[in-house]
Amino acid sequence: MANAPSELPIVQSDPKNIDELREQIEPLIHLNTLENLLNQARSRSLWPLTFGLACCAIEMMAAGASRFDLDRIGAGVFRPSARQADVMILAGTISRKMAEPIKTLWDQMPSPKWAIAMGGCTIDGGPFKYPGQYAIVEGADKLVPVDVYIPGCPPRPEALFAALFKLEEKIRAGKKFNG
Amino acid sequence: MIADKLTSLVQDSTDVEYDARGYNKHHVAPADTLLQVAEVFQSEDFYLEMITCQDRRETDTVFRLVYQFTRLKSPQRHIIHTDIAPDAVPSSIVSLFPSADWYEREIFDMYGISFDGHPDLKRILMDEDYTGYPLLKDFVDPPTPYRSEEDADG
Repeated sequence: MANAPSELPIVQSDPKNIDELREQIEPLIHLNTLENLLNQARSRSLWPLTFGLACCAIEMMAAGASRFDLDRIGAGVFRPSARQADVMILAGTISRKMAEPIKTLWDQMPSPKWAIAMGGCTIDGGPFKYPGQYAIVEGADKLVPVDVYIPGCPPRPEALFAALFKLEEKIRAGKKFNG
Repeated sequence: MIADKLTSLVQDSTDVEYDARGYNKHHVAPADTLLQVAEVFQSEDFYLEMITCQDRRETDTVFRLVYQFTRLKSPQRHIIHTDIAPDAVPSSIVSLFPSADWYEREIFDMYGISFDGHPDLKRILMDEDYTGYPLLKDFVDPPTPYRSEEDADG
């Protein structure tokens, strides 16, 4: 406490200009530290929703099992309730009938939350995309905001790990994330 | 015997070489005796293998319902073709063969054919507020936010 200023600085700027305000209160309140700490915690305990749509889910299950073991990076706690999940791994073809339940599940997940689109189907419809198709949602981004895309049909468990590492990187970078 | 029971109910019955076609008999039944035909097959210990439909409006101005009945005791497989007018409402056989439930719902979903006496006729594969019948020859998918229009040429 020795370095604490004896008087609080008087903030005179327009409170709408949040950056300027931040600059003035920065010596007193280190907003970034707590945010970074939370982001560290979030990135290392990504709890996915127990949720598989098609064959990619088999690779997701393989990633969770002993040979690859998602628990090594804290992401193996598959939650059967959307209320407890942080990340939705969209693993497989999204049929149109499944679109509404997916939106409901996404809305039920508490913020902050992230989505990983796994496999060709969730990127743009994949092999099921052709003129006149009537059954498939052509891309998970038409339903939920996707953070990481994994190409492959299906992607191997290593690719899912790579996606989770990328997502961790993104979470830890916070607002500074670029690409 | 099954053949005797069916003679008055079907228009035409043909023996088929099983090794070549995979079934033993082929029947053409009018739509109004469909339920009685199903009753005969039920009494002879047949089970319903599948129901499907063909859109033949371009050539014959009809929809063709295809029923396939099989039994394992003295094995036989029978195919029944029933032609119906596009606006006709054929009778449901769910009361005799409960497994017909989802087949008839699928035909309703894909071709828009209603079945009289079905307990719960609603879409099965498409979502319930979908409009249109995807397996019709003249089907055009209604606009949807779930499709990328810019790549429509494939």
